[in-house]
Amino acid sequence: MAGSKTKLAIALCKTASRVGSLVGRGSSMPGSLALKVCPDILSRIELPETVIAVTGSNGKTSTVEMIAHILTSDGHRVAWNKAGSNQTEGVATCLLCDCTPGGKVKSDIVLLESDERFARHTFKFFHPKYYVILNLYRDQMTRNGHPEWAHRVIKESIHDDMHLILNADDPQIADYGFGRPEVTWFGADRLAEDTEENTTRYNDGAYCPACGGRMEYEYFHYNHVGKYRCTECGFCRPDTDVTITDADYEGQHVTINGKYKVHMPFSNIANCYNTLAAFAVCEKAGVRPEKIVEYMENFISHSKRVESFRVGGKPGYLLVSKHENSVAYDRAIETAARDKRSSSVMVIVDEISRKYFTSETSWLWDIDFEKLNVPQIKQIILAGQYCYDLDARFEVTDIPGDRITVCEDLSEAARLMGESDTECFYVMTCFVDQIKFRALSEVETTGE
Amino acid sequence: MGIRILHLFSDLMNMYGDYGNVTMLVRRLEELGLEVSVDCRTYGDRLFDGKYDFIYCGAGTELRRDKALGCLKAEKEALRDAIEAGTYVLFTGNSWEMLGKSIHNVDGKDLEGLGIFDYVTSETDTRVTHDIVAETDLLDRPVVGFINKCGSVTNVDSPLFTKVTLGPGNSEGSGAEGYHYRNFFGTEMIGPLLVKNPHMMDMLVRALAGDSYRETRHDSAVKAYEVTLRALSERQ
Repeated sequence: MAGSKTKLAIALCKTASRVGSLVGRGSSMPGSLALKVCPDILSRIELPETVIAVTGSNGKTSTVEMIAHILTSDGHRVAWNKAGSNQTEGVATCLLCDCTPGGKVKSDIVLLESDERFARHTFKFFHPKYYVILNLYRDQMTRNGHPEWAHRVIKESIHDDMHLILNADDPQIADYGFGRPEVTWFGADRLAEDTEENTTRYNDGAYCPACGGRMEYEYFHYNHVGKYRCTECGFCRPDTDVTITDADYEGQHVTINGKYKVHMPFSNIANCYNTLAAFAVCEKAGVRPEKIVEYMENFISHSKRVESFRVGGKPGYLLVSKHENSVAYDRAIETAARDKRSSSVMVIVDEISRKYFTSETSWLWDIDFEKLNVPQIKQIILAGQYCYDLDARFEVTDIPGDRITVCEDLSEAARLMGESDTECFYVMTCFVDQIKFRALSEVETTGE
Repeated sequence: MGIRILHLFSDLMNMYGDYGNVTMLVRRLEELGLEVSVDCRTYGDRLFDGKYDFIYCGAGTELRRDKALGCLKAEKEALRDAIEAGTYVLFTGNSWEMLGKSIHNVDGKDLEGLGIFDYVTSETDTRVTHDIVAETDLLDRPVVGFINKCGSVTNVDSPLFTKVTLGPGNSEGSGAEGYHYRNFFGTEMIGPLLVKNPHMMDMLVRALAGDSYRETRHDSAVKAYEVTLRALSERQ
């Protein structure tokens, strides 16, 4: 029998959410109100047996979208924090709005995207049955400190009764499974584009997360993700239960466990992993693999990480990346460099974050801009307030100076791009700066 | 004779693009027609091999700094001798903490420092991240950068930056940042601060190039500095 405080908190959250949606307010405010009335409300409500949580530096939203699509296609009612509010307040809004007045969550599955810094607070109140941890990168270090710091913080969110679904190819993530009886490991076999050397700007897998010893890699899929082994303590990549055996970027699908050809929303290695993680957890939650393949065929992502536009009548692609996240930029660079048509590439750094102020630009030195040095990329335009920091970074690449144009003003930069005689354009930037780009009169947006 | 640079722990202590300091310095020196060689030495290597003109170490995670400290201990005399001999030495981010007396680290362990200087570091599980603007008598313009640390340094008798106008100093209320002794420069600022502060780079290039020094133009670096200084000044 739910107490009156529980009932009050739920009623308050629901009312606030209705009012909030009328006035267009964010999705964390109702939960925040409920938590004020009843701080332990999340441990008082009755959750379904299957609660899934997803955390990691990159790909949380994309992965959760795929999981939600698969589970709802399979006939489940799923409560998930689709607005991307992934801190404790957002989780509270999502769960309480789905509750009966007496405090029982109505959906038969709860699916949560969890901020890596807040999961330890949220999971004090309840423990997800399945906990998917995707990866750990240098990400928003002006807030997060560094990946080892984030590693400590995520560790505090892990409890003994959770079933972990872990990326075996990221040593910082594999470390969480050490000594646990049951773990579902996901990862990729050796793939066509793998390299034996780390070809990026730094290697966060150079030293063992368990003992600090020097690590060796048999191959890298990208950045520090690959097949590793510590030369000192024997820590190594675990054998995987759910495995990418082939990736076909042109055909836009991954082959899992040698037989399931799964369509993925975007063609890059990061999306292979997101798709794999979604496959792994849905199978664990009882969806038949053949069905997952079928459901993924008609999955359309709402996150729109790639958008098309036209400038001067020619096609362009907006690669929405994340500032302060070199791994995300590296993927955007790979996409642009893979196109065989002649192209102009624009990099915009105007505002570093939409959530907080900083002038920190050290992260530009972690991005592998050197890979833009391919003959078909004829022109690189550096734009926005921090274009001069970008130019200083490009100065030490071996990209010929005559290919690089620096232009602080976005409108002028778009005009310059339109005047170039290349066949297509790529624009890489973050969420906040892409809005500014799309709003330019020179840019004609064409949607997906 | 060319200029010899020692880049200490170039893989272990490179958490914030710190390598950019060395890469850009080499470019500036080569631009003046100087021959430059860089020795990257790390865990498992002999760290000091002869005489260097410039020694650099960047920022790492707390664990990696502790590991680097363990490696440096065996060769601390070489570092001390280089500093006493007036070699230009720059330790950025948490690396300068290694040269002090001790580090009370984030896991609660007390580590003995190299003891070259008398300062003491004490860490907690609270992260301090902030943009910084700081002034030093060595330069006529302020230095801009970013602090990303989890502790404070006390007992600093001669800070590098005597006035911090935005952001945290060595310890709460100290108003000063880093450490300066002869040609040793230590600062908690992370990343390629020599790139972000072309006047600081110029001071170092001038010192290392000697008679070969001449002024060169680096418009983008100067503009980048101005943009950041302006943005940060609005926050003061």
